[in-house]
Amino acid sequence: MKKALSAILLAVLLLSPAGCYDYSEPDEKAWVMALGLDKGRQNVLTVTAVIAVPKNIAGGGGGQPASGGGGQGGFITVSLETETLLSALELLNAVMDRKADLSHNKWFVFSRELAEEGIGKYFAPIARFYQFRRTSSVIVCQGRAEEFLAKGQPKLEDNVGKYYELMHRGWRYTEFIPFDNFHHFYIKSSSPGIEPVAVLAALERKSPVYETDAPKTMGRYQAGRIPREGGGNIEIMGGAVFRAGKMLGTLNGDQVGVQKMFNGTFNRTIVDLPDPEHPDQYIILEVEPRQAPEVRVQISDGYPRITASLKLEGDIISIQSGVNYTRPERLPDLERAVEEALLENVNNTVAKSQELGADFLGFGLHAKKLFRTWPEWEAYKWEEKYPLAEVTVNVDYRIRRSGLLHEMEPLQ
Amino acid sequence: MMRQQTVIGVSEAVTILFIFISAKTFLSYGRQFFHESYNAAWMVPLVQTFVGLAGVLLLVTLLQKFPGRNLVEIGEELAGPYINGLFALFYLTVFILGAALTLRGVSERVEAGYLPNTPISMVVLFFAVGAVVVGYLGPEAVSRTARFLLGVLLVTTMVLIALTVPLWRFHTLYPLWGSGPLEILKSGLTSSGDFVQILLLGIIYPFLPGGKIKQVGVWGVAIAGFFMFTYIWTSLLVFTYPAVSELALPSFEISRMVNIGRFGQRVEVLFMPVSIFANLIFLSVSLYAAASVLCSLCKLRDYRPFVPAMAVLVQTVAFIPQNVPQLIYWNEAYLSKYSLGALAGILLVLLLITRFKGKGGVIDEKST
Repeated sequence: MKKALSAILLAVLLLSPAGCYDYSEPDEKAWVMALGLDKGRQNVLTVTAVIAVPKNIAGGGGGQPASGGGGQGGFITVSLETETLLSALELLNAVMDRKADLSHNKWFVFSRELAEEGIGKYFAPIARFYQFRRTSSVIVCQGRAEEFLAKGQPKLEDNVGKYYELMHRGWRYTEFIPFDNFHHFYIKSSSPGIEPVAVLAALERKSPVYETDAPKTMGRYQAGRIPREGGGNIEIMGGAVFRAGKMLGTLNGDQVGVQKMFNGTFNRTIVDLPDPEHPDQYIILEVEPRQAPEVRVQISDGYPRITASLKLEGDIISIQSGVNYTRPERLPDLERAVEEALLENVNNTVAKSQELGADFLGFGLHAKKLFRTWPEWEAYKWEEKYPLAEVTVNVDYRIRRSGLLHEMEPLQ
Repeated sequence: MMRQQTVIGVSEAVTILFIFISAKTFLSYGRQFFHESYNAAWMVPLVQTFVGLAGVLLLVTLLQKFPGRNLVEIGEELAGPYINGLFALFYLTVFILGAALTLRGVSERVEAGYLPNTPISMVVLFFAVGAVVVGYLGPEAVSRTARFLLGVLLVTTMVLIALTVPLWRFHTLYPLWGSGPLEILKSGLTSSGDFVQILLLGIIYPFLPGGKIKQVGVWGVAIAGFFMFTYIWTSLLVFTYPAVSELALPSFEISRMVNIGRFGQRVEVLFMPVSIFANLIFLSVSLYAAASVLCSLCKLRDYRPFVPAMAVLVQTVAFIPQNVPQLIYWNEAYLSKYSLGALAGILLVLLLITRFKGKGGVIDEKST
């Protein structure tokens, strides 16, 4: 009798938490994969939810995706006019048969218009909400977020969540996609001494971006201004600089690369260098970090004097002219040319950060080591002093490998 | 059949003391340090640990004079039943209030992270039932359960911390002195009540191997201090100051940050058992200790009838805070602050009485 009672008690205790209140069937949820925020037309905000359509993601058998390969049907979008972001989550249930859930949300997309007005007030409620994850990406899109998300069909994936995740993961192998996800964006936003950079995105521009075929380094491009045909509708390149929750300006691909070099999140990039002996031809090199950046900050007459050194290395990928730069005595010429090209980018980026009054390069994080206590550091008001700082940067580049060829023979 | 005498081994005793002190890291422990010491909050657990060690030495000095007796019995002999009644009331408050706030806190954590639609009373009931069962079985069962789960606790914690290393940002440690050395010291001293759980030594002392009380106390406090320091350190490096000061449950948020590729996300549920184990052990120990204090006070031989009664009392107290912010505030205001100071005051009074009355006197219990 005692054992039977114990067994019944145990069964009641074990089964009730699993099935009574918080039972959750994944196929009864509407998984929100991205949320977009625009200034509202009929209310304060237009909140757009991208909701995965699992039956189209699961695959149609025989290796054929159910959606027909183009990602069509892998998601639907719903745009709602609400006062706040999270009230849209409840309102979604008025138009969806499944319960909306943010647990798998990958992207928070803010329209540029809203970002320039300020998005700080939308951050705190999101961070507090239990379904939300700080690993989501923060995207600023040119134009309206609802259009951006509705037209942003993946081409290679059926799973829109994977598409969003892989798009931002490009930061690992390109210089021009910012690293900052929501977590980094948030902690940088609340910390004096560094400012966050969100991913800049746009829909493909149909009309020509440039009128001439004059040479342009790819790093000058940014989302919405990439001359191209084909591919996915969405492009992400460059960054949106924020301070105090408000977008101040944009960075192109090269400037994002420099930001990542100083933030320690730069992995690699490819530099097209005009050949010193044949200016109409290019030498293509890979650039990788050799060491963490060295930054020294001194304060003289109340203003910062910053000295930084970027130590990089890389490989020769291609030499169009066939000139034998790979001989040991010629390599320093190439290294110097790369250093000059990179230094120009660095100086442009430093100038941009001072012009915007936003230390997105994070020099302030080095400056705060000079202070004994936090109140002393806050009282210094770095954000006011940084635009007037004297910044000297040195770039040191070393070629390590020359690819699968050593010395080339000229074409006959 | 004769009932065997209860014995707790040294490693079991160290484990139970370590978990009893440090289980709070899985709740809102350390939240106020970031407000008081800013980015130097990692120094506060170190200050607390030294204060806790001082408290242990004081407690050990008293206990060693009365081998085989617990703190309530010692107090009765030295201060008499009336004054000792007040002291025992303090001990009871520490155990019951600590258990009640922990019970509510851990239940609210489960509510916030895993079971948002389940009524809080249901979650509280589950924890209470588990704690009553283990607490009823006595200190041996509690300590052996704790010792058994120690490996799980340590390995899981190390894995969790290792997985967050890529998120560490060392710049947050500067400016090195945060709000200033004096403020850090003040924060450590005023929150030293986080180590008031050393009181447990005074309850389980009769069950410990002879001559090992100091070893148990020092190691238990030192390991707990290191554990608490590690969690504060990791929270600070992952979330950086000032963002870290906003978190209600830093250890939970750390586990939500783990991201090791597309298939290594949302793994916080793997780390949930650690917090559940640690807090269940805390609750079981608290119920046993509270029952034991009452038992000694009433001069009864069996503590067990008091365990369910204590559980009911703990549940009742657990529902007094109206909401989670109030719960956190009460914990900081009534337990973290000054409670170790109050315990030290009681111990000093008892030591003074010992000196004046010339009682006790067995300094080295090895000789007994």
